[in-house]
Amino acid sequence: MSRRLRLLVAVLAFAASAGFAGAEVTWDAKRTSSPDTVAELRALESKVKAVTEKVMPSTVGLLVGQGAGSGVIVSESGLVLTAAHVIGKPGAPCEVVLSDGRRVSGKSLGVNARLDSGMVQITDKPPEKSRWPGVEPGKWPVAELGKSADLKKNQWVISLGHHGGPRQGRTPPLRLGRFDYYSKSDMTLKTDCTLVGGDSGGPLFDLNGKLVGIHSKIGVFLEYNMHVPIDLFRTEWDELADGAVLGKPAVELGATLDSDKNVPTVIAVADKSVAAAGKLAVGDVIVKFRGQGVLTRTDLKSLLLECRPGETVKMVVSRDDEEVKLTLTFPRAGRPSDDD
Amino acid sequence: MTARLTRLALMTATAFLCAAGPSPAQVTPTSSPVPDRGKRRVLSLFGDAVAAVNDGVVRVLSDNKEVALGTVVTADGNVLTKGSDLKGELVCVLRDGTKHKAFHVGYHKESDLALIKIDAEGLKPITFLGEDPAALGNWVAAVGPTSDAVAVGVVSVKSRKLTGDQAFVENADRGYLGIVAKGDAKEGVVIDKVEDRPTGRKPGLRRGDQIVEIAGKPVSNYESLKAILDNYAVGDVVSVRVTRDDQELSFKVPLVSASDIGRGAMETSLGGPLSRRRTGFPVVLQHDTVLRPTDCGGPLIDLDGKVLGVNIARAGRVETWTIPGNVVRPILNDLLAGKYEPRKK
Repeated sequence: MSRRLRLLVAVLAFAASAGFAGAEVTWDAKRTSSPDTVAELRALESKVKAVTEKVMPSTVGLLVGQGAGSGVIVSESGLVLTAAHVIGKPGAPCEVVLSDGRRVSGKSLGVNARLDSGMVQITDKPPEKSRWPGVEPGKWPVAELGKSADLKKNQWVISLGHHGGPRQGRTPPLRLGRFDYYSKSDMTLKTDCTLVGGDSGGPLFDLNGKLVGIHSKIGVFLEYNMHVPIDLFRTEWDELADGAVLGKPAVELGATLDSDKNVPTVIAVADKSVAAAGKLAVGDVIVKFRGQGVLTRTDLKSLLLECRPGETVKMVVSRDDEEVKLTLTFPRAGRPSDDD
Repeated sequence: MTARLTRLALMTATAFLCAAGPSPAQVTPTSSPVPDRGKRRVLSLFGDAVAAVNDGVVRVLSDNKEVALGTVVTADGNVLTKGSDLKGELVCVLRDGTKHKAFHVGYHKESDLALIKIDAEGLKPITFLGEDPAALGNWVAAVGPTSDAVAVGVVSVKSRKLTGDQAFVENADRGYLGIVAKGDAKEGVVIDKVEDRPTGRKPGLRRGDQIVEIAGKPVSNYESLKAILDNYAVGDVVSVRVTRDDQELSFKVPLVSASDIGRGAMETSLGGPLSRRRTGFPVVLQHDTVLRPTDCGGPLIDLDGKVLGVNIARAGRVETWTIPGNVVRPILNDLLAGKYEPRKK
């Protein structure tokens, strides 16, 4: 069906449902082009406003340990989808910041570190004073799941999330953008809805108000914003809800990092490990790995997930205030790497 | 206070967690893609709305450098602009290309709004919307003295009071040591991390050092360290005495700017430069328009051409802030009445 025709159908459907006789301009949620007229721009605006109002209540902030991220409620019993790197591991207690600013308790369920998917269960009841339009008292406001495979290039999407961590008096900021593509190698959706730290775990919606992705990472340019496709959550839903740890790295470094510190600081090196062979030493702070800057333990973990058996990796550590270059080689596994 | 700072610093760490970096397949580091890819067309659809106000916008030069946009508020040449980047000789360039010498009339520190005056008549002043403006999701455009909008976006958050660390005016020129202090240190200030510097080598300070003295003044806790540094600017060199393994050592440390270290450096490198002054405003309207810091000071409009406020800061990778018209109005009246002095250096 041509776009013009599809639009016409949408217009007729709207006119019929709303009982309008005139040709009101509406925005087709699946449309992949820019608006052509000011009237269409206004129609897109109305659509965005309506969808934002509808999905805002389901968007939450997550405070886990000393970090902050976002999430989205997907079941009336309080199941929340988020990113693996926000919650780290199953069983972690967290605070869930609701869209009205109230806070309730939750705990993390399963994670898939490779996909960067994770779940949290809210363990409290909805606060008595919290009210969401169209939601019965005692139930959670829920985002409906969409299908990420149905996204078309240049389709308009909206993103919500608590960038910088939840802030008093600020609803999760809206960003509007367009879907670009699904990266098979990366297993992420790419959009130009800008994200930054704290947005991680927050929801990406299509203009039907359906949840299609979870914010995961960003690149150098404003156009590089990556989201975990909702379809990949579906394939592991039960395992994640059951608290499973999925997506372990294919290689092992053999170094233990200080779990009290955010910067990756080596506190032990296993004998005969890759780390030992590469002369990594206790006290080293890893600052660069595989050509990428490393600022936190989680950074290092996600970079390790990308390593393949047989790969040689250069790294830079800070040792007694000097930068030291090291080279590590991960042993070849029994079967060849299936990636790249 | 120290605990709060620690918490925020660590929240910032989430930013790093989020930023695992682009995979090589997706980034061509040599060329930046065209910004606002999906919004080009939208920009042109704003043409009529922009045409209604762009005669009332000027480009502000400070010592011949573009520093801000300005919003004309009276026909005889009063112009509202972003104050913190003004210094030296001021010139306004009108839409017709003519240049006019401007002088600094007054500065309202909290809002960072400055009133400057050019010798002119018959200008087309801009009128701000009196009520609290745009609804969440509304299209907005930043206007310059050009036919096309400077940038377009949508309202991300309704007008709000800033809270926490964002509620305070940070001296944009303030110098920093470039260290992260341990949050749980019982006494003194113990270095948890020495931040990378954009240029030059690290100043010799190390993780674990306890700072005892800066510029000859004793440091008893984090608050006192901050209080001492409040008197110094970026580029100043201070002497820092530390104890390390029962030894006392002294270092000369050149101070860096906030945007050179930690979160600032990260965000700056991931989406273009941010405004130097980006905290302490009374009320802001947040939108996802991508502005250069030098494009602040001009008006923000909606699709009807209504002027929602003055763009005041590119506050982060995902956010630009506007002071809403209903907040600008009383400040503007006070500035016009001569209630505020020009900004002091």
